[in-house]
Amino acid sequence: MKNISTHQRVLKVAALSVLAAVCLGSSCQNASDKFGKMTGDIAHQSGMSGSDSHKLGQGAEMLVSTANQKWDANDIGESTAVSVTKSPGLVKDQKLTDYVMCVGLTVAAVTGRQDIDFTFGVMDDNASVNAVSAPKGYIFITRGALLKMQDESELAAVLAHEIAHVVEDHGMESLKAGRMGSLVTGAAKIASDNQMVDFLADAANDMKGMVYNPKQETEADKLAVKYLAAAGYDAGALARFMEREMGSAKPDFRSHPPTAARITKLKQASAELPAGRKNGERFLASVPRK
Amino acid sequence: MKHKWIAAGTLGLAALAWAAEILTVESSGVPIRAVPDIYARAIEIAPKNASLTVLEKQEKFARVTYGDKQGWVRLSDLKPRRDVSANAAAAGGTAMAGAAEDSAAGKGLGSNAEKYAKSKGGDAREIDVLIARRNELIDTGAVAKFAAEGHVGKNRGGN
Repeated sequence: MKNISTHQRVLKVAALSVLAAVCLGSSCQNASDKFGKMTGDIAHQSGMSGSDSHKLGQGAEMLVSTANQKWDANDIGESTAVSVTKSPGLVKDQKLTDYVMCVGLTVAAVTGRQDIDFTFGVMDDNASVNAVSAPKGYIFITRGALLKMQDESELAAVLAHEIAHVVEDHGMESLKAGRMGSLVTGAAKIASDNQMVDFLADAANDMKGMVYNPKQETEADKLAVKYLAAAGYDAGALARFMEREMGSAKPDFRSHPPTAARITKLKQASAELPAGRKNGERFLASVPRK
Repeated sequence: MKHKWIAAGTLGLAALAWAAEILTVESSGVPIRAVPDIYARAIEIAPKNASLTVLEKQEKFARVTYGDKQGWVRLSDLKPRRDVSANAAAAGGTAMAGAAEDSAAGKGLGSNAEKYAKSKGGDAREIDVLIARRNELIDTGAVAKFAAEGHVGKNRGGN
């Protein structure tokens, strides 16, 4: 997040603290489909021949070749994960990591996306309530977020929200729309290994500090409720966690749908679903309260 | 006699057509599963660069033989075979040249991520370990057990 101004960071942290489930995401595999179409559309708009346009669209399904350098969404996901190990770092508590991994994989199993290798980790950050997701299914949550939760269903809820961002490919969508759009689409060229590394560093930073647009957040909320119910967790957990965390919120949500409106929608979506598990005892036994 | 040559030629073409496709494992520790589902039980773990004989393909999975085991592997975990003989592959998934790569840091990550780690910092090995642990939790049934004990998951038996 080094490239984010202090003001932006303050706003972001405030929003994250309240919304709790805010984060980043995208899936490389799903990204590949959309990415291929995306670059194909761009080629069409730029007046390329049908043949060239077809090649560009197909090639971008898994791989973008820009000048001499080739990369795909997996590289962004992996670089983001590596970046997380540097800052803020991952906790060394194997039991805690296993627990979060098991909850995440339990939710991921109901998405129907067998092509995504979801991998979960805990960021060594007690002060922030935050989560990060990235292409290839990397999802990280801060220990600070875990400390704010009361049961396993709330953890499942935040992870489900992140999973939804990955499934819906929101991360790559946002990168495309952001400052690196021309590189992501291949319109601008990457000519050397050094430029490639710089590109991945920028992309990783953006993934770690990304704020999704309201439409993406709404989509992720909706899917999260669906996943929670399908996995047998309390589908109201996301609304409950967000509502409780609202107490420390600062009233600036320019990048998000109003939190109250989100919570109302979440409650409506979960109201008619069967009661699910909260698994509070297991959560408290697995997450050290320190 | 002419017919015999034609028949022999036809048989030869047929044999070529039926030659088993050999693919190699692209990353370290790829599970071979009992059914085409990434959350299914793993019956074997194929090491990086092992050769697998493809029996059939579905949309995202291939049914393969590896030694005396048969199971399903994701196609995205496989790549075309390089310098390996069909005999070696048929003999049981011989590890390929390049196994030394396994000892390198960041072995489970792509080369671009490795370049990123070397240039910008961060511990690629830590992510490798995380991925390996993830696979272990799935393959040993720990995730399934976790879900069952918590009465959650897609195969839960009720709340």
